[in-house]
Amino acid sequence: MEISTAKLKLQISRTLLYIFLIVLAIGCIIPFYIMIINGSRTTQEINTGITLIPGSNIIGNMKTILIITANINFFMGFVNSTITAVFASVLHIYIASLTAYGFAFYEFPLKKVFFGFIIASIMIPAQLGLIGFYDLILKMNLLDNLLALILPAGAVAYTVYFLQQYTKSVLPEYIIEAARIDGAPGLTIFHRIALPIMSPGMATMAIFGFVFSWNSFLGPLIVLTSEDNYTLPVMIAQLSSSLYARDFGAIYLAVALSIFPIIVVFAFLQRFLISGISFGSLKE
Amino acid sequence: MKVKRNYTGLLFILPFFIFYITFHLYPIIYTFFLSLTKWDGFADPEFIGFHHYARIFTELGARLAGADKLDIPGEFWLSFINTWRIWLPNITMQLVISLFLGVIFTNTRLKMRGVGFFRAIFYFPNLVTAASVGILALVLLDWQYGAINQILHGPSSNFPGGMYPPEFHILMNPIRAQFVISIIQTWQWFGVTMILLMAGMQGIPKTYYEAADLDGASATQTFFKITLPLLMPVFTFVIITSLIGGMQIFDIPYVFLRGTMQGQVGGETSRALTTTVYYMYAQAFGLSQPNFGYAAAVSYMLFILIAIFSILYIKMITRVSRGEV
Repeated sequence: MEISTAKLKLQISRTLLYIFLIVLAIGCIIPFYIMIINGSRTTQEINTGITLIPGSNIIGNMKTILIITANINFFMGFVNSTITAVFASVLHIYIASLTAYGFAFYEFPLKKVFFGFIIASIMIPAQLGLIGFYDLILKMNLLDNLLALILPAGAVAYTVYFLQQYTKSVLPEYIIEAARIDGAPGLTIFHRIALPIMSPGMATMAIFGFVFSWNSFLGPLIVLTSEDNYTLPVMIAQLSSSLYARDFGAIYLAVALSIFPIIVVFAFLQRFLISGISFGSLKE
Repeated sequence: MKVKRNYTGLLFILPFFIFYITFHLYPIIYTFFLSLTKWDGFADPEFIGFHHYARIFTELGARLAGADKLDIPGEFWLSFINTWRIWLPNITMQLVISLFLGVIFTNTRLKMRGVGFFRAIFYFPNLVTAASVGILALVLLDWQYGAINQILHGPSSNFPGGMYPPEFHILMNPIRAQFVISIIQTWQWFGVTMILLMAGMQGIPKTYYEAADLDGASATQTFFKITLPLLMPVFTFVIITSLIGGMQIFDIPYVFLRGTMQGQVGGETSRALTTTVYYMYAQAFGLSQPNFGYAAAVSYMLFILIAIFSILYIKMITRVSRGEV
């Protein structure tokens, strides 16, 4: 009798917990669902109340967005964001892998100092150098140029740290040794042998890099001065004060489109990201 | 066999350091130099020593002396307090939810299913562009046609004049507006915190729990005597990274403050949403007479304060875990 009461209790608490989890999961998703639904409705429809059924005005809202109103060229924003995020994540991952490999498989003077430097710079808040960065961009004549957002990705300390740990755990030293004895040049060993083995870890960090670059806001906001060069987040942020700010259908659709690539990344690659987060914390 | 020490390795790390020094280290050092100057972005910076820092400390003194708060122009400290008012509820809610989820997902007696599914869903809001989330929140919370008011009170056409009464304007109240941002932050970050805490919990040896079980310890005792103490390193990592990130909050306050022009956010509210990084941004890029030198000093003050709070927290944690408190 006692055992079955315990079992019953367990079953009840399990059911209650599942209800809680489902409510929480709905809470995470519903704002996006409402966004997509309202993105397909007219503003008049939106004003009459909330619904879970799609409307029929998606083409109309799309037209509102694509017509270049109030200097907002949504299509260009998409192009600018894509260019920035793709080039930034490629530069970021290649240089970080090179550096991580150097730390993992070479001995050189002051190695500990350099690595300590990388660890220390992980903890530095990004806002600290912002004013100096703006001045640098002015001096380099890169104001209003996407390069100003791509080039800093050449030095992401956390990725170096992550990949150094990762490389050491997946790439045995004797493989590198064997290649060295065969007389292969260092860079060839890196490209032909190390990179393929490091690639799952690199992929994880490249995805993080892409998402980070796609989402970054303060940097583009101060660097980009003409609307034609705006990345999507900067463009989206102007919606709150723009001409069609009261056209809710169009706003919902614009926001939905701006996060569409993020939804794609999530749908196909979330496993990489979640394992990347846990890996990072356990190595602390 | 160990590789002999030579300089080849330096060539591998050289490109990184070239980028690092140019785009990160130099700006950080130059920002410090600028913080000692008066600079409007056009003429040459004029060296004025620690004047900006002195101003910030004087304002702190005046605030602490308790003079009528509205008369003191202590905007830096006001912005810092605002930032804390947003961060503190956020990290508290995050930790409570994530700890609870971590415990039920790793509990061996409950054996919950679908952990991977829920983890992915809870993580999703974190990936979404903060600026887009800000706009989305602004339209959902809109005082006239927002979905939240429609859910809570029905369409506005039900009310006299087709408008909700003023007390339904969620963002008109400064405290509510700050709390809305805390909730958004919690919503965006509890998934990550949960993943981190779960990874930490799975690292705790099972034998501890078996021993506690044999001794007849209750679930609450097990949580406070085993899980929580052994989770401290991950806990500290979560709190410190959240502090560093939370003190720099900018995107969502920026979007909300832009909404001022559409009357979605009240004047009192816009004071309450001015976070420190927003304040720095506004001093440098939002004025017709830019104040880059002062903005640079704000940036350094914030850095120093983040460092102080991180060190205080770590000191406190080590004392607690040694049982001195």
